[in-house]
Amino acid sequence: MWNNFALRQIGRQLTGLLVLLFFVSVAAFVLVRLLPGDAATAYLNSINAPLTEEAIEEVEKELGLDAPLPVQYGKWMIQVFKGDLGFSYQTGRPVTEELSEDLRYTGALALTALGWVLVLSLILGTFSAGHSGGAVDMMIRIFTFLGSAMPKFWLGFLAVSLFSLRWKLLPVQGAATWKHLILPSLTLACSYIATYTKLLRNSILEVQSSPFVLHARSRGFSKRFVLVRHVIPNAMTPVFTTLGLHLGGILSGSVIVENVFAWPGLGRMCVDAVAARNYPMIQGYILLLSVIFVTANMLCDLACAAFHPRLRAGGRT
Amino acid sequence: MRKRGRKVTAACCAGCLTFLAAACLLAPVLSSCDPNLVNPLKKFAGMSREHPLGTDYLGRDLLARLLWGGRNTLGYAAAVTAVSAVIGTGVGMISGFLGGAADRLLMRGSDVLRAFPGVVLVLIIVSILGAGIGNVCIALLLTRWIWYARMARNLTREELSRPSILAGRLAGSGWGAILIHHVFPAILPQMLSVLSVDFGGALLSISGYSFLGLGILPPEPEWGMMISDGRSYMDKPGMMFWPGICILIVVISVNVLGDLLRDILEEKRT
Repeated sequence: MWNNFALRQIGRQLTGLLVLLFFVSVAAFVLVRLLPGDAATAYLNSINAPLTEEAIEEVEKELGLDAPLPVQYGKWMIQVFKGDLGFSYQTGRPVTEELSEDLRYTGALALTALGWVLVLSLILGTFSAGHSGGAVDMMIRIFTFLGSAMPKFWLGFLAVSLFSLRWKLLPVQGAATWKHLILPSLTLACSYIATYTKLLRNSILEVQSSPFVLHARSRGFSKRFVLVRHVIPNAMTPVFTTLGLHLGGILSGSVIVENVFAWPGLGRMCVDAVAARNYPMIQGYILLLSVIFVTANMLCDLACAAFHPRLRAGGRT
Repeated sequence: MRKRGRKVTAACCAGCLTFLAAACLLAPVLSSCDPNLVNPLKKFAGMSREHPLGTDYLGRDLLARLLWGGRNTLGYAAAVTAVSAVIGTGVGMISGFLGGAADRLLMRGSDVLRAFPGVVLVLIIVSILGAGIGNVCIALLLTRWIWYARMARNLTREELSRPSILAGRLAGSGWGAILIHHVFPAILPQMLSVLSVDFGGALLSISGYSFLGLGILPPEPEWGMMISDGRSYMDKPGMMFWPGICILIVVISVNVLGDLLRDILEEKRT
């Protein structure tokens, strides 16, 4: 089942991702060490202590800032693994605590958006392929062009002014109920729905013209049965293999969408943190996002290998 | 019929792009207003002869801001795309030609970086160097060139395996001449179709980061930032509408042009 080729491939991808994670962690470490005003003053500021020379020296010793940089990095990594990322300058609360609160909101937003993408692009793509060349197809294709070109921040405001301000159907901003989730998640999903609709349309058309479909039809299975049972599952393959590719984009996009809808997630927090020069929070965000990205990508690779024997064998059938 | 439809679509898109770009370049001629001139007496003025699109919340002329903002948005997007395309194509061609360890490293690097959230890189650079459009452009360049490199590398390898290259070698051409005179012209159309779509992505990124307040800093106009300015005045849709529609038109046009070019190339191949 799992031959060497597939394992090597996955191992390779894994080392690459871990190397990336290492570089990001070095960048995050350097970020706080390069502070305008060094780490010791920043620390004293964060606990509202007076900035005397003795105090700075003492803190430097206490924080181990006199040690060589690689040693400091090692010590810092150990702290990170223990879940200690320091304190937010803005609120004085532990960074880990704040991040985990915000992560729930961003997670809800991103997963809902992902759900929209899968469901809506499947429906639209199937319709588009089914009516290939017709008016429905034309309309869906126009949507895919519009959707992928629409700036998220503009689309969000358009949606708010129509659905919230004019028709008063949905709340404007915030995150109190499930209704608050609808507009942000759809805004985030829109460009990916467009991309995947296009992808699925082409993929369904391609699968439909393959001989096994003709065979199934000639055996007397109905068109719908063949479509649902054989064509769509096969046509979904490129969707799953490219989902990992768009993950980074969804996470980046959530920053903009969260800012438009005042959604209290990671993206909004980090833009606030940049404006306030809240370095521990920025550092935490960078690390957390990279870890999420790397883990999800690995899971995606593994899932693809597990579900598609052809890929597992490295393209040899 | 199909061919004619294509020509019409391509002409429409190219026309829209030329029109917008020319309007932005001619900003000083088309609008006599200073885009940053604040006039508290004329807040939210409607359309008039003096202010064809009205004014914003500080009484600044919207048409002037739109045109000057377009210079920033389009200019920086074009700069980022051009630089990353040149670097990427160069590196990709050399890597495809040389092969070996450097080539493998490039492919592995692009495998890993291909989906990395761009916002993380922008945040790292903006936190170290400070907010500003130059720093955002650096961050965008760092991730974008690798796409061109990957594409150029694959195309170069494909071209190099053609018999005509061998013939060129037998005729006494050096590898440098072959790369410049034979491989580059052959891969250029494909690279242009990638470039066209990528320009749209770069534009969305630049206006997106400016929207977040990380890119172009006020009072300098920029389309994404103008939309951000309009967010507090949702009852005055003009402030947000015009820059948004401009972004939409540009991005759709370059996407359609890129797709058309790719379709034509694919048909030629088969």
